[in-house]
Amino acid sequence: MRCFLNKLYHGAGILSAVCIVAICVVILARVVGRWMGIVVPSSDDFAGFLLAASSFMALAYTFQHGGHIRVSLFTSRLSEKSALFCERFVLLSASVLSAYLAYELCYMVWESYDYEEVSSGFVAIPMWIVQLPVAIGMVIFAISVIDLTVCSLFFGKRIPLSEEESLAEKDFINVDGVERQDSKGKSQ
Amino acid sequence: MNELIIGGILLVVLFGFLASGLWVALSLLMVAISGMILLGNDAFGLIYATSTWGAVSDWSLAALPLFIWMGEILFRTRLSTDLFEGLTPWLGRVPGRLLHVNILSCGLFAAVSGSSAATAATIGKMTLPELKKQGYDDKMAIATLAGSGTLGLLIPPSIILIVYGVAAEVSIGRLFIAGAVPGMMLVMLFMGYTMYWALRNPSKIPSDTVTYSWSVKLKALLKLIPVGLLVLFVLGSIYGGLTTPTEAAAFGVIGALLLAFTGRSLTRESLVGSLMGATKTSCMILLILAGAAFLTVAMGFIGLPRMLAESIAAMELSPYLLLFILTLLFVVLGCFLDGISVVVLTTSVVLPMVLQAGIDPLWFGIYIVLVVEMSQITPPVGFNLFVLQSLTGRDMIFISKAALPFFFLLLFAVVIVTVFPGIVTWLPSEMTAS
Repeated sequence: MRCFLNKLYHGAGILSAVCIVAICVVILARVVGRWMGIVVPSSDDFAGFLLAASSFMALAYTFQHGGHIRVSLFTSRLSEKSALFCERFVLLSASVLSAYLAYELCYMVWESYDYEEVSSGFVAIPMWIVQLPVAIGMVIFAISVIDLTVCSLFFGKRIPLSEEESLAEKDFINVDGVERQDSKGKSQ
Repeated sequence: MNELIIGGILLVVLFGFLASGLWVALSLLMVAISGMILLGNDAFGLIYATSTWGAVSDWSLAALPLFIWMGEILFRTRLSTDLFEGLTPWLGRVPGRLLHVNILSCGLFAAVSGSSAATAATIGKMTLPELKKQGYDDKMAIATLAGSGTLGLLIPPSIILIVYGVAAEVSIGRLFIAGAVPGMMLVMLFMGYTMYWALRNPSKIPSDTVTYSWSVKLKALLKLIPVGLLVLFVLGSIYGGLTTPTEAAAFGVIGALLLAFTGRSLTRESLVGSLMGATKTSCMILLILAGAAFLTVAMGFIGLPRMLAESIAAMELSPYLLLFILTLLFVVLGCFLDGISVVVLTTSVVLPMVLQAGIDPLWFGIYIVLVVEMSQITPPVGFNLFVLQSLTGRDMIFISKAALPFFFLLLFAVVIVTVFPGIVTWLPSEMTAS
């Protein structure tokens, strides 16, 4: 179960990254096409759809890596016990909220499908197809929030620190990645 | 229910959730939903879905992940080392010498990376040991780093300006043009102060000057050319009206990849790392933007921004007084919220009031970024100060005291820009006219 969930979050994250690459390709195709007098049809729309898919598919992945911003100025001064209590409260609220939002987005996709809505651009695409990744992303996000809530309630797992938080709290010099990169750069 | 009572309750809800550590984007959504419930509007689910879809499928926002990716690629190259080695020989004769390397390399690095904390950490990790070895004053070394780490928020292509542009419906290209002159003004203010300080305190900088021959200088210049070309190309194509910011961002990614490839730092690991890093950052920002879009619509239903705007108009508050109050508010907000959250919160509630007072939204974008920069080094709670604290191991009082002159320089910049709004608006209007 644990393994499956982690793979789900990671897989969605990779899909999201692929979408960003695709945005870059679509935009480049649009510019190069313009130079050569070829109009890439609905490139604006596609970039927008890819952006929507990319940002929602990555929700769970970002969440698991502590990428979403939260204010830790007050909670970081609490004692261990009250901090955990606070995190449980926050996680429970987030679970309810994200589950509700996921339901609403799924409903939006269903309505688009039901009313057979199509995009307004040059290339008419059924809206439910391009909206689907947004709903799926939100569902995976809700699953990951509930997952962390359960882990917090039963195993006392803490909310992961963001990169910037760890930058501010830990000794940066010891964080690997940058160190390693420097030595690699010199050796080549 | 009265708008004012709803507003008061929402303020409590917002700060309650934020302070207990709920994610910023979710806190915004919580406030919006609470507002709709208090108003008795039960169609908020539908409104949420449509406003979210509208916010995240906006193609002008596509510039955001691309610029972030470009920064992430450059972050993993030898760029920071190159900047340091390339700038050093050229600054040997300027009073304060290596201290200016801090300012200029932060300015350049921040322009491509967009995160002030990461900039201060990356540049500082390299320059601080070197400055210490050569006997520069610790305090000033940290101070220049704290101040110039914030430059990236303003110098285009700035992520926060894209966010403001989308949220406030101001052209991103024009915002980038508007940010150029104030950005350069800040760099000059910082360098000017450092020169003044160096002349006043000659004992605190090492006396022996290494003279660099011209061949060394030219060799150093070679290291600066690639990144210089990239910045020039990306910004130049926007400024020249050849491409939209989104298209320039796509070219920026290609340029950054080329730079990394020729510098032999493009490995599979660094490519995947940069892409996943960009995915996380852009996802975080877009979730906040989507939350803010819903909040803006909800606020519109409640009528709070309109009411605030009308009461401001009724009070006949002078724009200066309004800006003074807003500055105080932003500095307080900026002490515990990040810049992007401050900007989106503002555009949902404060913008109608600002427009009502006759303030140009383009100018206001630059102003708000300057104030957010200031809040990043507000003693003793600014976020950059925490990063520098962990980087240097010095205590907060020392760092706060060191950064204080730069805090005042930023404040001074805010005042100048307010008194002479032409610094911001001149270049964009000039370029649109031609």
